[in-house]
This record gives sequence, structure tokens and C-alpha cells, in this order.
Amino acid sequence: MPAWPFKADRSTRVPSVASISSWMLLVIAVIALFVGSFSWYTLSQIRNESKTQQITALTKNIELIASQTELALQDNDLPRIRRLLLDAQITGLYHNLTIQYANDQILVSTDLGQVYRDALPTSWGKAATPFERKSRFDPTINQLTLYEPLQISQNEHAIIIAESMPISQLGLLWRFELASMITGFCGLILGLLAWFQIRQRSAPLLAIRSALFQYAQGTTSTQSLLVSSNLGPEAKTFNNLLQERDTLTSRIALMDCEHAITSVSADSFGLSSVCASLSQGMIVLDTNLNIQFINGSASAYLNADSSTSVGKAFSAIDPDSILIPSATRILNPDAPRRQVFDIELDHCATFLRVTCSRIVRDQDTLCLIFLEDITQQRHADDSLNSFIAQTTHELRTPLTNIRLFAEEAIDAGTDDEEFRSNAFNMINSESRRLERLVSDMLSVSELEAGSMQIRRDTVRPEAMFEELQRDYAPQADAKGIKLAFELPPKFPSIDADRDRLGQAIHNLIGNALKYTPSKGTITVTVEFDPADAMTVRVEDTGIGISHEDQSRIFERFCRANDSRIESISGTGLGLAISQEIAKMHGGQIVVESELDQGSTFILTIPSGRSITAKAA
Amino acid sequence: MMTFDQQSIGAVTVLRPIGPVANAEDAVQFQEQSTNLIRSSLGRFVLDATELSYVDSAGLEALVDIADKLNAFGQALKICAMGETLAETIRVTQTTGSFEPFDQVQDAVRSYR
Repeated sequence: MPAWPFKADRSTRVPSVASISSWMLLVIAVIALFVGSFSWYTLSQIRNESKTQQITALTKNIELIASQTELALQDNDLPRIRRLLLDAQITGLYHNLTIQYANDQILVSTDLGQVYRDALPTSWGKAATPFERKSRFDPTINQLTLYEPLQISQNEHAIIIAESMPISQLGLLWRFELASMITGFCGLILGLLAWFQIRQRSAPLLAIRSALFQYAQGTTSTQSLLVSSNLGPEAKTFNNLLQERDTLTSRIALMDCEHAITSVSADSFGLSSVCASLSQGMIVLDTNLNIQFINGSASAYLNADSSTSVGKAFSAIDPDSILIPSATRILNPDAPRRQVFDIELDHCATFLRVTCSRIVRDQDTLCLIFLEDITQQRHADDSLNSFIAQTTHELRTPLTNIRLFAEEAIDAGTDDEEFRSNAFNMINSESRRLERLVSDMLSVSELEAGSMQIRRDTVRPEAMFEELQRDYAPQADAKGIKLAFELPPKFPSIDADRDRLGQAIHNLIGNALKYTPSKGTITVTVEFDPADAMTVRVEDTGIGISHEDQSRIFERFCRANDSRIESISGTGLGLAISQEIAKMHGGQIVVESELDQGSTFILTIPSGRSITAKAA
Repeated sequence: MMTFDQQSIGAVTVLRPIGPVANAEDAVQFQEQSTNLIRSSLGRFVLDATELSYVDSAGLEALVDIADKLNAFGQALKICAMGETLAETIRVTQTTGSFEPFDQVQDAVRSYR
């Protein structure tokens, strides 16, 4: 980059100082020229004024002498005339005074060398040319000669010729005049010198100004705007600026091109922007394991800052070397091009599926690391595995009972009818339990697929509750639990899906039996309000549910976090299915419970008539 | 004064604000609570709006800011069970695009699989 001359070299400050001195010189020159000219003009005026005053005085004086002389001539008093002339000469104003008549004949003269008459002439004669008043100045001797005619009689004339002393030049005034002229001349010379200097200094500025005007008028070509470098440092600096402008313009154009090239993909969106918006993490490394690209998700997983990570070594954001070995292996040309594995990030309990791929482009090799958050999948898998294990266990228990009672019934033969009858009842009961389990599993599938439906029909609830009593009485007896049904004396018919509604209530009573210890009590209360909305309350004296778990127990695969239920099998689906069934009927299930104080599940199903009316 | 109920469903954190966001203090509290959960869950975050009856301008700004933070993780703000008032507020202010609405929490959680 070219150096800025006024900063790079101290000597280059000289031009500005020189410019100032040039301007100072010009000012001094103007002042000197003005003072000199003004002085010279003033002194000239004084000189001319003085000369004029002297001439005026001489003229008036000679007119006075002439009038006195005329009187003396008329009196024929020659001595008086002589005295007048001598008195005039004595004043020092005149060098010589002469009275002539006729053809240059001298009557009287103050010049002693001149011949003059002793008496006035008898005849004055007549001059060749008439006498007239005039004056003549001889600049060589600075002398004024005045001619003043005299009228003696009507036809007799004479003339006084008065030669003045040299007109005063006011002594030393000429020296001041000379000094003024020299001063003015010096000022003129200095002015010219300063003007020349300023013009020389202004040349580059004028050239730059001209270039700027051209630029303002639309000329942008650097070649057209360049000024001659010989004009000085300012011109060189201006040219350097133009070249820098060219360089910057080229660079910006290049960046625009690069941006345009990178943008022309992915339906006009920048590929980087697309990758940055991925919910999966994405990292691109070069062969030296330096980060070429990292998106926001990857930065979050690795606790890094995507805006400052590019260009850094990958080890800076992977200090525990979780991914570095795989990346190093992938970059090896002899290694497989792709590797997939799962890792666990301890700091945030997150599981990531890592896909490392080798990308070969021309001579470059890059490593693409793709990070997919599979934590929720892992949880879902765990839940599914747990569900399968629990379901298997749940299925195996009634199957085992069915098989055992069937074998014992076969072994007992026809001799013990009572035993056979009990065995068949147990087989029947376990079969129904098995059927409910399968029904729950099907319901879960339907819930997951969103295809669960209810088929409404007119249902007689008393029959349903009688069946429930029959189903659960043996289990309650076997566990030593008192199971009571408080049913209304008269049931209205309701509009509902009997099987689904029965499934929901089965789950509520089944859970109560499951989580109520022996000697406990379970009370099932059924009520109808005046609008025939049905409320089923299943109240137990079981282990209860914590407030934290109460909000979760209606979620699928969810079981309360209670160590007391670890030994109790369960799929974690029953309440979720029951709640869904209640909602599909326009009702809901709520729970009221305290730990160790038992639980009450309240199922509310609105009147079938109102449901029908709404549907209509 | 609004309160918060949070739970984890699998690896997903569900935040359920209880009460309206009716002033700047509530908005700041809501935003801080959400931001902390987003950071700790690496973006696996669901907002259960069942009890979020109303948000004022500061609350809406907080919601958009939370959505922007999730965008940095490549995620969208999943809002469940929006009430009519909240849905209308979001629609009128043309910020619908910042959010991913769901009817139920389970649906939002399932979208992370």
C-alpha cells in the first residue's frame, strides 16, 4: 500500500510551510506596492502643488510690477522704474528683469552687463509682433520666464520679461519619492515572485480539483482521473488513492462473485444458510482437522461458538477427543468412506448418532461429521423395550394360569365337578384379562396411528357394572381387598361405546386392585346428574400418587417414580388409554390422591343426549 | 405473578407457564426460564401453553426471542394447546412463522423422534 507522504516523510511538511510563506510574501509585496505607490503619488501631488503656487505668486507679482511700471512710464520717471525692477530682483524671486520695446531694444534691465538707456525714448516704435502676455518654462534649468505687456499710450507698447529664479524642488522631497518608487518596485517584484510560487504550489491542487470535477460529471476511469505525478506529493497521493480505489473495487467485485457463486445452489439459497438451519449438527474439517464449517446445532452439542470456531483446530472444541479419532480415520484414503456410531455427551445427558464421511473434491479431502440427536429415540426405544418386557410378563401370567387350571381340570376328570367348575371360571377370568391386555395393546397402536374410534350405541350401564363386579370380585377376594360397588337404584341409558367405556373403567378398577395392599378397600361409586351425565368414582386406600407424578400418569408408557411399585407389573398404558377414551366421549378423568392416603379417579361422561344434540 | 411447571418426557423438556404474561417482569422471568431449559436440554424443548391464557407485547417479544434461540439450535419453538387469545395474538402480529404449533404435548414430544 502506498505510503501517505505527509506522514511518511517529515520533509514533505515543507510544501505547506512554503505555501504559507508564499502567501505571506504576497501580502508583504502587496503592502509594499501600495505604500510605495501611495507615497510616490502623494509626493508628486505635493511637488506639483508647490510649483503651481510659485508660478501663481510670480505671475501676480509681475502683474503688480507691470502696473507700477506703466504708471512710472506715464510719469516719465525712469529712475523709479529702475528701482522697481531692482526691488523685485532683491526679493530673490527673479534672476533677471528686463523691459524691452520696439524691436528687442532694452529700456531697463537688472542685468548689469546689458546696455540700457539713460532716458526714456522719444519714440517707442512698433514691434514686429504685438506684445502679449505669456509664460515659458524651461525644464532644463527649471526656470519660468514671464512676458507681461506694458501699455504706455494708445500706440506705444513695451514688455517686461521676467526670468525667475529656478522653481523650488522642495529640497529633499525627491529622495522620498525615489524611496517610495523603490519600495513600490520591490513590492511589485515580490508580488510577482509570490504569485509565481503560489501558482506553482497550486498546480497540483488545481489538477486534483479538475479531476474531481470530472469525477462529479461521471468520469470514473482511473486513467482519465490520474494527474501528473511531477506536480508534487499531493498529486502522487491523489494518484495512490485512485489506485487504492481500483484495488478495493476489484476486491469487492471478487467477493461479490464468490458470494454469487456460493449462492447459486439450493434453489438460490446459500448452501451455508441451508446447512446452518439444520436441526442436525454438521461439521466440515480439512485434512489438518481444522474447522471449515460448523452449524449452530453442532456448536450447541459441543458447547462451542459457531461464529468464532471456523478456522480453529477441531481439538479446540473437542477437548475430550470424542470425535477426533474417527475424523482422523475417515481422512485416511485407505479407510472406509463412511462410519456411523453413537456417542453420549455426559455434560448434557444426550445421545448423538455420529456419521463421519470422507468427501473428495479435486485435490482436497474433507471430513463431514453429521450429528443427530437420538436422545428422544433412545428414550422411546427404552420405553418400548420396557413395554414389551412388561407386556410379555403381563401376557405370560394369565396364560400360565390358564394352562395350569386347564391341566388341573383335565387331571381332575369328571369326578370333581366343583373343582372343574372353579378351574373353568378361573380360565374364563384369565382369558378376559388376557383379552383386555390385547385390547390395550391394540388401543395403543390405534392411538399411535391416530385411528382410534368409538362406536356409539345405547348402553345399559347396570349390565356393564354387574359384569365388572363379577370380573373383579374373585381378584379382590384373592388379595383380601374389600371391593364395593355403590350403584344407583336405577340406571338411565347412555349413548356410548360400551366396549371402550368398559375398557376405561376396567383399567381404573384394575389399577386400584393392583396398587392397593391387602385389607384395603376399593369403592366404585356411580352417579348420574339430572342431565344423565355419568360420574364413576374409583376410590381406593392404596399407596397413593405423588403430586409430581399425578400430571404424568396419563402419559403413555408412564409409570410413577415410586420404588414401591417396581415389583408390580404394568405396561403404563392403561390410564393413557382410559383418558383418551373419556375424551373421545366428551368427558375426562381426573385424579385426587395423596401419598399413602389412597387415590380417587373420577371418570365423567356427559349425557349421551347432549353429545347427540351437539353432533346434530 | 406467573409460575412454571416443568417436566421431562423422555429427553424432551416441557415447560408449562401458569398464568398470563401481563408485564415486563413476567416476560423476563418467562424468557429466562425458557432459555435455561433450552440450553440444558440442547433445544429439546416444548412449550405447553395450556395455562398461558394471554401474552402482552413483552411476552410476545419473549416468545419470538425464545424461538430465535431455538433457531440457533436448528429447532423451532413447539407450542402446544394454544388458547384462542394467544393464537389470535400470534396471528395478528404475523409471527406465526416463528412457531410450530401442536394440539397436544404428546404430539410435540413425538416430533423429536
